[in-house]
Amino acid sequence: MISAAYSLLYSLGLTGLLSQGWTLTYWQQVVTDGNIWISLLYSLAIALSAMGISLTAALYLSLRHKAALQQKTTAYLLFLPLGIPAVVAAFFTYQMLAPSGLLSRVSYAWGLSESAAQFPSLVNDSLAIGIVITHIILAIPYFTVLFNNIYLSENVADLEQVSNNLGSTRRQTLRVIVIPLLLKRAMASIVMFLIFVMGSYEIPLLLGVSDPRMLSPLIADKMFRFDLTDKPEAHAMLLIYLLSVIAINLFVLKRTRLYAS
Amino acid sequence: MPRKNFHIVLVASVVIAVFPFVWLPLMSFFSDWNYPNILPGVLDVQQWKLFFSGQQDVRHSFLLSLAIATTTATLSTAVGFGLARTVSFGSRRKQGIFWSLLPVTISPVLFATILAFYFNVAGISGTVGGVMIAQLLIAIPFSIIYFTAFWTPRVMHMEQLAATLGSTPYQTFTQVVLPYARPFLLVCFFQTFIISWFEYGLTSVIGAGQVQTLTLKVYLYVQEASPSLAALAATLLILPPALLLWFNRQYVFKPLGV
Repeated sequence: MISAAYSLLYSLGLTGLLSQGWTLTYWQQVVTDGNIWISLLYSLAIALSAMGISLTAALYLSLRHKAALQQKTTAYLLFLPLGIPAVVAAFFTYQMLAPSGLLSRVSYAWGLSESAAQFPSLVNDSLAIGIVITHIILAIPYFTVLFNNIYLSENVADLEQVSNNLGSTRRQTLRVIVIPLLLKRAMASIVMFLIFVMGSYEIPLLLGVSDPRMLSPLIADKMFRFDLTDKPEAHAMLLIYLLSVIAINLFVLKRTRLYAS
Repeated sequence: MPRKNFHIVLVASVVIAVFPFVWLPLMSFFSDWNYPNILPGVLDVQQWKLFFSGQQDVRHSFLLSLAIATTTATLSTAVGFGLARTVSFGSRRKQGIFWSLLPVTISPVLFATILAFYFNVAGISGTVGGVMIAQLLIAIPFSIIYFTAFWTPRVMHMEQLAATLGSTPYQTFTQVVLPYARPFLLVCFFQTFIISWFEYGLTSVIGAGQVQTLTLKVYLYVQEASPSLAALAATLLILPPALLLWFNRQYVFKPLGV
């Protein structure tokens, strides 16, 4: 927080190369301009899409393929994406999904497209398909490990057995007991993942578009571009982001067992 | 779901998970990959020859990343282990966890923009030491949060029991706590190594273009439209974590019963 004091002073015109003294102009510009809110909503939409698909896939893998996940080699292979940095994942997605990428070439070879230009735009698109896919590939193994750990530590198999003995169908047991329990226990990690995706930088940098932009590239770009008049606004945006993260962290800590000894 | 589809989904998941580890190394042998060829006519070993002979920047970046990640992981594991004890057994546990959580959850590039001014004033921007200090500011809080799960009342009772039986604090630490903490320390080292090894945003801002780690090289080669060099750097980035995951599988997969 002490570090953020400089950002606060900068955003209020009290420091910086072009500082002209106390003013709320930069904050007014940021709040009324709308860029930060569009970026915030865009980042949230991407994070929610990636999270929804990842959680569904991870729940499916951890609940339907429990036996496979007990096999050392299969588990190792499934969890390999945990060892891929974001910048490499973005590069890989680009090589797969770009108009000149592998999928486009396969589609050409199978006669589904006649040129690279005909291949649908899956990277650097405003729908952020490439960004969402990359986050999904990175998140599924993480959530699969997490759900499996919770499944074992919370003795969910015993709960399933009791539920079946009491006459529930498998679907009812999953819907009413197993899935809510796994999601509730994983809530802190799910919210952290949401913050992580919303603040991601390398992936939108390689796979995103210039408008709309996700939060980190938007703020970093304003902060480091040559136009110094943008810097106070960038610091104001940074503080809005910081306050949002603090609020979410407080929410997570109040609602989860992280504080419990 | 029919049994056949059941297996198809699993096999497809494994293929998707493994494919980057096949494709990226393969791509590092591409010299020209013209559309619409699925694979180039010849595979070129030139990039790898240059890498092994040390005539390429990638080798320097690989060694630099390795040194930074190893140092960061060692220091953050050791410091985090000690600080987590203070946080866990102190009266301000909640505050300790909250302030540790903050640097871990903030976007690294934005965290770096907050720190950049202070690093400039201290004159450590653009230096390897500066990058390491910046990475420690993320890795140590991570270790603290991680080790709060270790420093439970059970460990405190073990310490008290050892003291009651006449052990000195040093003996308790080396002969009771450390052996018990060994798996935790290994996993924390592994995870903080990965945090540092994967780091891009913080390193690009605090490193100011002077500290070229492997992640920065991947981005640089993509910008330069040198996909085979980017694939070479990417291969070097993904292989060590894959190996670490394999050798640490007993700790990572143990809770899964594997």
